[in-house]
Amino acid sequence: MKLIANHFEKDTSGSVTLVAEDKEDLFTLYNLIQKGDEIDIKTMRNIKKNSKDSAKGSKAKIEKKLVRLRISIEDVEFIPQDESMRIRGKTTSATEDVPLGTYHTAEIDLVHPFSIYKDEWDEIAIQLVHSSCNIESKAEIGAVVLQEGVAHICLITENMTVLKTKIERSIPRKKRGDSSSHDKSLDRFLTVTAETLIRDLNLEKLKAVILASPGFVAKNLFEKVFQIATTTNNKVVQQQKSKFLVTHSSTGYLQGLDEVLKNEEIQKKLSDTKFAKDVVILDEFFKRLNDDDGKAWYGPSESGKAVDLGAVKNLLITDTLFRSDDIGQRKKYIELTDIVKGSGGEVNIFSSLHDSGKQLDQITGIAVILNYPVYDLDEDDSEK
Amino acid sequence: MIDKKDGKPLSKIALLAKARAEKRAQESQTTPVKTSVSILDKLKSKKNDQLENKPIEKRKQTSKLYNLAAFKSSKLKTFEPAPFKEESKLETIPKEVFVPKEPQLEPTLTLIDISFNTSSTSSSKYRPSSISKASSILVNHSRSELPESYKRKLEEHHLNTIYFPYTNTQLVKKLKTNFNKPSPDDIVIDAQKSAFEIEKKTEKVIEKVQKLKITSKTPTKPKFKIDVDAELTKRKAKPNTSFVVIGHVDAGKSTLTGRLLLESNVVDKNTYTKLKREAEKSGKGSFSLAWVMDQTPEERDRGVTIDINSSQFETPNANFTIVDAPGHKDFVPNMITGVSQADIAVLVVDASINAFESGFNLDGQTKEHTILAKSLGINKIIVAVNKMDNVDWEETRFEEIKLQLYEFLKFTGFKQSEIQFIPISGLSGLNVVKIPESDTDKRKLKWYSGSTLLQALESADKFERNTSLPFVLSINDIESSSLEFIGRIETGIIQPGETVIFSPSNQIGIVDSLTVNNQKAQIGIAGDSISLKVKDIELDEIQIGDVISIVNHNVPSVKSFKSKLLLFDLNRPILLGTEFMLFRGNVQQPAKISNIISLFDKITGEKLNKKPKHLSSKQSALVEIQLQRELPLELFKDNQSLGRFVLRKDGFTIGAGVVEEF
Repeated sequence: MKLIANHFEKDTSGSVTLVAEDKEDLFTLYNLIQKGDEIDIKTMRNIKKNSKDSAKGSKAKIEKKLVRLRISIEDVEFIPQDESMRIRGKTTSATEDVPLGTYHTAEIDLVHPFSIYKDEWDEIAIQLVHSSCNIESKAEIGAVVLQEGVAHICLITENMTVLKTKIERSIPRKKRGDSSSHDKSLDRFLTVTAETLIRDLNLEKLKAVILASPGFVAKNLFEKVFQIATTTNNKVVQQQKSKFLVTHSSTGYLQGLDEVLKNEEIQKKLSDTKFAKDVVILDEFFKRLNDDDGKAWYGPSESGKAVDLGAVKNLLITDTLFRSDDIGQRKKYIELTDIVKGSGGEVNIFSSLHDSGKQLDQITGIAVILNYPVYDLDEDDSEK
Repeated sequence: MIDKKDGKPLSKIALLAKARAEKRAQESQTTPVKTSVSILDKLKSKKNDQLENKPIEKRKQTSKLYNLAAFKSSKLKTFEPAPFKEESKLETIPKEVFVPKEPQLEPTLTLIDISFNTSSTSSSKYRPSSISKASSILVNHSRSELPESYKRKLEEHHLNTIYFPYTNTQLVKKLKTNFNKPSPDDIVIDAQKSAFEIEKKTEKVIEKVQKLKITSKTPTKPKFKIDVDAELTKRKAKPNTSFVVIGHVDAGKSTLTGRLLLESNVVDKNTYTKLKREAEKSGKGSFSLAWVMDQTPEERDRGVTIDINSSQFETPNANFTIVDAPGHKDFVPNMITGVSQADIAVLVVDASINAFESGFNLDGQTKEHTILAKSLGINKIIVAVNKMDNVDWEETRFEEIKLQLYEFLKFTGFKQSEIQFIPISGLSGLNVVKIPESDTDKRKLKWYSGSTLLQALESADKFERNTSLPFVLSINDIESSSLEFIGRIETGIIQPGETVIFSPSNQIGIVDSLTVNNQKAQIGIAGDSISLKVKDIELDEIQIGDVISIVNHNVPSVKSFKSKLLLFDLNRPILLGTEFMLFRGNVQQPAKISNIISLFDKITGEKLNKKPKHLSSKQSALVEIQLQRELPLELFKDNQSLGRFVLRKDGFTIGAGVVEEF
């Protein structure tokens, strides 16, 4: 994201002018824009031209016009697959063509600047703007998880995992004496997967490409990709050979990806990427939960109590909670993160568009790993 | 007439009043016949009580319409006192005028209906003036039919109470027609209602169309007339038994399978010689037997089995289907497919020093394979202690392995009588099929008095086949060029010419021919591994793992179901939404738990009271499982093989379960 201007008042209200650059930014905006914020944006609007003779029944002409509107946000819609984001709300200033208080839906594109005005810029919001404007923190990884007959081609960015393509082919079983039909369809499957990978992933832009499968399928895919690159004389792909990582997963379905990101070897290569760290922390949490050592708790009340005790080592929280329309809720969670940071703990904000964030969302979206065991966090205070 | 009480003659008026009172008493017992649904009923039910109780003075203040309607209702229904001051005078009017069914009053009734229409719509509330106009019309109209005296009384009364505009007849007509029409609101409401009705109708049609199946669902008769009972008894004499060869990687499963096939003459000597030469050429002489099963270049290069391979062979006493399963951890999914087709498991362990131990310990597949086999319904296990030649056929080594495995197998749930240990060498073939004949061989096995592996398989209990149940087969492989579906018959029997249905695609086709034990056959019986050729089938919609059944027994395909689950050792808990892989026979699908219903005690199996947020190691629970797409399943009580499944996550088997409820 490009930050063009910002202006904050002493009472933490203020505005920020931004240009979104990729869909990753759109997701950041989705987290940033709350109900009640005001957005100043140039947008297309259908305007009815009321010509004077319209009374005789001729239809009013509708004209598409570029207007600059200030909208008080009521709803934000974001679809990761479509790479589009729409905001909807009432206009708060009248223009020549658009009266005050009319509804308008505007699409945020990757070209035009727009300003967000908030009554209160909290720390999380400011942090979101800063981190999304920092180019260095951006890392995109391509990944293919596959097994014989099924392949998933994904793109992993800082904030989300996007399934680009799923390839499915039924492969006949080998038969004693003749396995040619099996071999043939397996080869066809690999070729299709390799071709789709070359087409769907922008290899130059990616930091790494992970190929993971049980057995030898990933290795074969790797060979297939470069065999195709050689025959089609695709220099771009050939140059990116060093970015490919062939590794092992127990399955070719999407859950295999999670397993891959926990893999130490892959961790080393991706050590400075946030989502890879998240996966490890969540895994540690689950391990402690399974060991039942009293150091892992989840749920808003349990986590709240742990924070009050000052025992928190890691606070795991998903961005879903910050996105809450209830400002009180949002404030409560921001306060929690502040206390944890203040007491020397670490706060990990998970993106709900990653598998790790989805898993955390399933267990209320907030969890803590403690410095020392506490055993009765889930008991009601009334019992004591 | 003379009054009963005091005997005084009554006046005319008093007489009339008495008659009226009697009539009222009669009529209040029998409710009057309703000629039309009108405002009268409505108003009467609402307001008559009030009218009766309220003092008359109060009624004067009520609206014109109110008065009028109440008046009408009293007239028609029960001769209640009309809400007028001149009540007593009114009673002098001839009775018959007020009789409910009086035809003269017809116009009044219709007009009342109009006012009902208006008052029933919400809009009428906001048009009090028009209503009062309407009510005046009402009175105007009815006046003409009334007797002269009453007319006069009414006029007097009207002069005192209600203002009636007589003049603007144009407006009256307009009003009348307008009120006959539905109000603008009614039009909108009706339009909305009818819109929904249309939608409902189309929905119904869509539903019906969806339920329609193009091909007829009627079962068809077999092509050939054969004596099914005779076939069944013939088959009982020489049953078809299938077994799966499982065990840790490199235990010698494929070599053992190759040996069995070679010695039962399924693989001819020439083919084997050729294979042997090829294997020696690539420096893998000892793999020559395994190459009988491992054909793909991948498998041969790497020296591991990747996928299952099933073959049939025959001995004088029995027909066998042998399934060679891969031993490598990565290919457990394929191994599960293999197990789902078998009655017996042959667990191969490597007797060599350290080899058995490494296969038996935590990371080895010996344990996982055994647990999987048991979870998938295999009750009989034969342990083939392989590579005995590597340890000089030492009895102590055999006993050592036996001791360790025995405890484990019993713990897993196998019955003592269903476990058998046999020392063999797959490579040399000793004690596999051949009984020790030469002196050296006899010396090697002098401590062993049991049977060979093949003998053990032959003497295994005959499996009860459910031939009386409907035909069900789970597709294991599809031969797309010839429209053949390969699999093992779970239950029932099938003959060419019968109609079958595919689940979940719901396609229907007729069995053209079937192949059992590599031969064209006229009947397939539960337990047979068959190849089924079906006509008129769209292959694109069918996947491995789909189920074929006889047409009148459609196997349900579900996306979520309730299941009783038993968890093994977990290193991460299972939370709601945790994704894992579900294996049912030869299908795998990503799945998750959407609801933990209850938890059971590990030992007693009783329902526990606490409702857990997540599941951890060795718990038993009733849960709801959510699948990614429809999977053909049966309840465990109806069909054991289609009603049970295992769960794996991150390459480990984490649990097993049965389908309890859809």
